[in-house]
Amino acid sequence: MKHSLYLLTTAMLLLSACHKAEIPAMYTTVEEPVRLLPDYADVTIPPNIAPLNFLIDEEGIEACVAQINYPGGTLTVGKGNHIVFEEEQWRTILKSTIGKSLVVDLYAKKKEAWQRYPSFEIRVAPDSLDAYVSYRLIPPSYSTYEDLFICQRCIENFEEVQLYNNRMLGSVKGGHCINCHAFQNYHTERMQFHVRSEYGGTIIYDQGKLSKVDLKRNGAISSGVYPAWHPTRNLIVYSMNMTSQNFHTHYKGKVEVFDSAAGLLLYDVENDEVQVICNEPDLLDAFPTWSPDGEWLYYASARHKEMTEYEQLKYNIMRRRFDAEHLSFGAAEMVLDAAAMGMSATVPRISPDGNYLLFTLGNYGVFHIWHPEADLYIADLQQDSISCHPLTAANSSRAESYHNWSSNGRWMVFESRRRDNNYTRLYFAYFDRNGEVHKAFELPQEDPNYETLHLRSYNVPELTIEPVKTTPQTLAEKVQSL
Amino acid sequence: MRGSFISRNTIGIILLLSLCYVWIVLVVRNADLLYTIQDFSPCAFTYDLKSLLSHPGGVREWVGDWLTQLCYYPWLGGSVMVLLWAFSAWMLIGACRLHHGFQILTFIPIIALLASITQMGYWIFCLKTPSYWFGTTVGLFVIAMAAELFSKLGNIGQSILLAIWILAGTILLGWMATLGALFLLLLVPFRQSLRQWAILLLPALAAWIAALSFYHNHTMCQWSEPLYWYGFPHVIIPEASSQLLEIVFGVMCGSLLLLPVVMRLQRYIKNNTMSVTACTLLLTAALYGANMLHYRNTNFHAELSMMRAMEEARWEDLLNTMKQIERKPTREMVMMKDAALAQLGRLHTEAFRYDIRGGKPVMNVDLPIHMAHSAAPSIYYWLGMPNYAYMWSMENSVEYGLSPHWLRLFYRTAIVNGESELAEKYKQLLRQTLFHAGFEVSDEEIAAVQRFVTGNNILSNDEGYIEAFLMQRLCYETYDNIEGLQIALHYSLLMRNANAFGLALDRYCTLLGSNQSLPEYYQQALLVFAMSSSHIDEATLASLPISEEVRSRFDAYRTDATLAARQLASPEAVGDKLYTRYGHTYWWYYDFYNNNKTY
Repeated sequence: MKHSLYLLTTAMLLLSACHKAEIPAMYTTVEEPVRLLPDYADVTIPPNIAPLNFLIDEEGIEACVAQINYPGGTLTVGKGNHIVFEEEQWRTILKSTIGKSLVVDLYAKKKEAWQRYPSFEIRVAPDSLDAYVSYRLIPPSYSTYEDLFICQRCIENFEEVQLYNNRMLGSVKGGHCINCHAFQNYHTERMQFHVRSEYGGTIIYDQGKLSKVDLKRNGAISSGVYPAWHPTRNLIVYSMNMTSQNFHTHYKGKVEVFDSAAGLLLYDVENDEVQVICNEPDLLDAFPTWSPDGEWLYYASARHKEMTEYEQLKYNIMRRRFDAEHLSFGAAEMVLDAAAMGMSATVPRISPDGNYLLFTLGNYGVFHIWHPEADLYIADLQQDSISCHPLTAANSSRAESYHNWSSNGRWMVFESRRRDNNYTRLYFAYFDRNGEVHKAFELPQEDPNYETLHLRSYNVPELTIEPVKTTPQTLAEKVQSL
Repeated sequence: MRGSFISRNTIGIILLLSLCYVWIVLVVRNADLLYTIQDFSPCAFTYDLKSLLSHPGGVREWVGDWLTQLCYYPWLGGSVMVLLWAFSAWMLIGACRLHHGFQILTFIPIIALLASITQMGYWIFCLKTPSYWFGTTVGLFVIAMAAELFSKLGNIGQSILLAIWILAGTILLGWMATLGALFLLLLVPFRQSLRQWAILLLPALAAWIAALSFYHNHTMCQWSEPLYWYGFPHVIIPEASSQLLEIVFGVMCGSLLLLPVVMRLQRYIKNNTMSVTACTLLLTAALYGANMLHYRNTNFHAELSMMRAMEEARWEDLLNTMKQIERKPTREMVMMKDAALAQLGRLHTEAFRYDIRGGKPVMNVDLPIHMAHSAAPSIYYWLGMPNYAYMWSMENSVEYGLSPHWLRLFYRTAIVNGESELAEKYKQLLRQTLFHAGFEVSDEEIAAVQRFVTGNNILSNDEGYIEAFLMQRLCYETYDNIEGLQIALHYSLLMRNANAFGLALDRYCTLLGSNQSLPEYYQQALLVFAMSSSHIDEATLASLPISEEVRSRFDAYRTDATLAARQLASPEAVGDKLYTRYGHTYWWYYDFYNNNKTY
């Protein structure tokens, strides 16, 4: 008898484990779309993305089923309120849907009754996304930095590895901040990041050789801050920023980050030489970036304002011609006069074909990721008179910022606080050959509820075509060195 | 054993009494401490499998933090802890085959652990050692279990268990695996040949090298901690440390390792009475030591009680605790009292009725504690500054771990700020805790806080000096309700800012209506501000809405102050002399209290 009970229990467990989602025979049709988390309805995705697992974010969902209709057939999935795909099945679906769409029919059971929600499409673009994205994971704190990671995620699956973890060299007595990791031209042969406070310096990984440098020399007003690695030469431009922050008593943006002084410097990695490019007391420069041909240096620049006038701080996009032979820069040229629009433009990024300028536009200030009104904008650099427009399909009513192009120029990655106004998450948007941007999608996770419970923000997403070639322990040894 | 005059029963009674003493100290005398440590300890759900295995002892930390949750009910958490100690002692007695004359010694590590909890004082708010409260207890329990098993095995069995202990223990228990390995080695009976020793030690050595090399190459340990001693409790912050508190753990380790030594020596001790007496003396010394170390600041317990009352909006309870304190309160207690009176709308009549002085907390080491780490974020919240409450909750949760206390404040501030998605996120996280899953913010609470939230946004920074910032910020706040204006008036009084007081009083009188007389403290302030002004004439002074009683009392105060100033050399001495009679007037505060930028 006891033996039979064991067998029965085991059989029931096996059966429940093998439970296959089925389309309900009876259901009512609902006109209103259901809230999905993440919202993957009508997005455009690359053919090499990890499964877009999602859940139905509504109270009282007892079960749900999604039927995926794709050119090669159909697939039915669903468990609880989760739609989770097997990686192999997902890859098969994407392979047969490149350049086409798959249609998701969604059913959910609520109070013992099944409902069918409006179907939605997921378009699979013909262009791939770079396989790796690196980011810093940081609690959205303001001055503490006990627990920071720089991570690398393969977007083709769910594998995330830590490139560096500041706890290794931290102690109960204190620690160090890490920030602004950057690579050269989507490759990982060259990489850098900064260490602040204890063990301060800039760590440079150059084709297997590691060095730690102090960039505050030769008249630099600070260490290097926002980096831009020249696309072909072993040179890095940094902004120098004397940065501080204050807090809003009631505004939902909570914090205001601003510079009291700022400029630009050039670091020659091979020769370990620092050269100040510009450091004018009445100008604040930030977020340098190179044109893909390496002939122009773009950056954001504003007239200096006191902290009390923070709402008057308006950044424009400027550029300077680079003389590669003499390592010198020409005079500053206005690219986009955001101040004339009463706005502030930061984080310029030039598309790999050199045709487009992608940036963030907000009402004021430099650190738009804390400005709920900040949106992504694009300007066509091929036109004689430059005008810009918002990337409406990618934007939200909350802050978007810190964006980058993919190496093929067909994708953008950016941070957004659209989920809850506090924690940044990563989003990708397709930029098609007609210059149109498509609805952005959130970085997929194995557990669709992961980002809801995740207590860190994503920072500085950088795309690369290959994984990083060093280990956290090797980097930590260099950080620890004098 | 011969010469035995003290029976097994007597020893049993001594052990039982010791256990009762420990329980009473922990559960009865430190119930508020137990509640607070669970509220400020990292939530167990913040660990994931990856982080558990990323450094030695991660699993022990998780188990410890999970058990710490039980202190939500101090009797439950405290009793579980005492039970774990009792079972540990019982198994250690068995493992070491201690004669009853020596069994009392097993209580010394327990007394050390008790002291490590009860003596912490204000360190509880800035402790960075994961699983400080239950972690060592869990480790001791596992060591005792392993020792009990070890003592029952033969030579080969002991070799295998020792190797497994070192390999698994290093991963699961951290530094306590090393302590346990030493303990097991001391239990080992003497081996006759080198080969037997090799059978015992070589697998252990191989296991040790395997465990250490795994961590050295693959995980994210703190390099400053030696791997074999990883996670030993440190009572340290960048500005201060307490070696005294760390020594307690040294006593725990030493007294534990003493047991196998006693096991070997007990056969040579013939007199039971002598051994019992010696052990009892040792235990008494341990108890006395722990008692001497015991942090007796009554303000500390009152402060913990007030913090909990503020959390639960039990304002009258908070005020009653404040009334009952026997020594000068901390400044944080004064601020909590003000927040309670603000919520009750009684700041105007009672603010100066309590002890209005206050200073830094008194500690047995000079701990630079900041109120930002304890009650200040809640004070910000109840005074209508949710962004600052959120900011400090975030900073603290990053620095000291995400605890239920900070999580609830995240949730509350998100609700008050109208950030519904964010509130839902924190609610989902609260649901993963054992006892805070049902936490809700009532509509009454939202309304009580929102009446103090004005639309007046200012970009500023408190620089860590919360009281000074609140005074500067709130004295000019433009509230649209009486209770809010009481806050503005109160902080302008604390600031001695006649201008801010005048502006707030105008609005207050408009809202109050002209027929109402001013509260006595406002009359006192009006008089002292007027007297301090060089521009006021007699007629204007006479026309101010100040009662005759207040005027005549002020005259008496001035006369007494002048007399005292003639007799005493320092202003502090004058203030002290006048405090008994005038300590609850605004005049005394105005003239003698000058310590608002405290900590």
